[in-house]
Amino acid sequence: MDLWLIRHAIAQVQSPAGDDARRALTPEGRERFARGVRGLTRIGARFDLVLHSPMLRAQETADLLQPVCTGETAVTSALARAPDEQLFADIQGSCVALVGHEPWLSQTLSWLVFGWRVYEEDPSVAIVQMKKGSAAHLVGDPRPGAMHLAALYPPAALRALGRR
Amino acid sequence: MLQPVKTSPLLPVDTWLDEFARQVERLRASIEPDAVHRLRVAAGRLSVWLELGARRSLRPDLWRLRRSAAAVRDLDVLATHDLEGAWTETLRQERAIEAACLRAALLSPRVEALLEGLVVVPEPDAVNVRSAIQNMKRRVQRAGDRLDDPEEKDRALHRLRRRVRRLRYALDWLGSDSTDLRTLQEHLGGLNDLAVELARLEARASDPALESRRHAVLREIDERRSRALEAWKAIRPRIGEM
Repeated sequence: MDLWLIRHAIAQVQSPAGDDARRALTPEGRERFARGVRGLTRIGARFDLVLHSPMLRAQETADLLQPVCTGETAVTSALARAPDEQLFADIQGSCVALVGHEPWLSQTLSWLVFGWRVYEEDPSVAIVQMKKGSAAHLVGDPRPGAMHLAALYPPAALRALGRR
Repeated sequence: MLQPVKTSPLLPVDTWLDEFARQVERLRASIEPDAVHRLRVAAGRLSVWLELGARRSLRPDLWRLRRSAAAVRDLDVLATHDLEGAWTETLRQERAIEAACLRAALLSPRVEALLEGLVVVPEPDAVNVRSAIQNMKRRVQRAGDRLDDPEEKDRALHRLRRRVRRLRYALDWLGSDSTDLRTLQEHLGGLNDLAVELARLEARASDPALESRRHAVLREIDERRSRALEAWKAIRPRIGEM
């Protein structure tokens, strides 16, 4: 299967209520990510499931993925914490997008590719660090050690693809 | 002291969020008909609230929960009728299965995530609300316009029922009077309950004990349809002004 890890777009530094989960995307974050979605369209990404964390910035990023979502969207708390088996159990489909947060997305990537939670031994070790609005494309089975990283798209690259 | 500026024209969401959470909790303990109905209503109202804020996320989660509850609710509605013995037992067994599915859905971590997600969504702003309500009115009018199409007949009524319900909930969020829409919705809802029952009766067409009930349902459907169409004709010219 194809698995896409997508970090939420640029969000407010602080929500009006001071609650991290309530941080919304900024207008600039929305506009830039919408252009990045055109890049995803351009490279043929089509998701039959978009899973997102309950945090507002992830909800809003998932909303912006609508043009490339051909199936369902669903919320899962497994994307709002360090990766565990529950997250892999939630992944059902042939092309799934996970919209979440750092450092958990890059930890998920490491676990799926290396097969063990290398970051638990040394938190400074990460295959990648995902910028806001970036996307990582993995291929294989969604279980530890059974996927490989096919591509990593920084946000500027997605936007550039969208312009072509 | 300065008060925070209220930007949303809607009633506070907390009442329905609390109601939704309360019914989830009740149903986790026991799948009672009243709680099933109230869960569906709360989920429907919250879904419309999200639509008024131009938000797509979380609505599919609410919809899946509503659909799961609807399977139980349809059987609960049938159970209120005076049904024949053998069929009653079949329906009771079906309800037990659907209730188990609903309970499983409610116990899933997805429902906790849904609740977490709902509480962080900000109130819809006035611009989105205005535009969403205009769209809802247009959708109701379009659905009503298709009632005259003989090929669409029952499908058009079904579509109108869902769209009227959403518009009514939206007006309720604004604190506007939706009495007329409620009357129409009741006619359309009653008609839908009968259509669900008829489909089940037709699946057991070989059972002679259900023959008289089938005829009664067909008669009731005709009566309900006429009342629903009359209610629609009365309300149609006023949709735009609501």
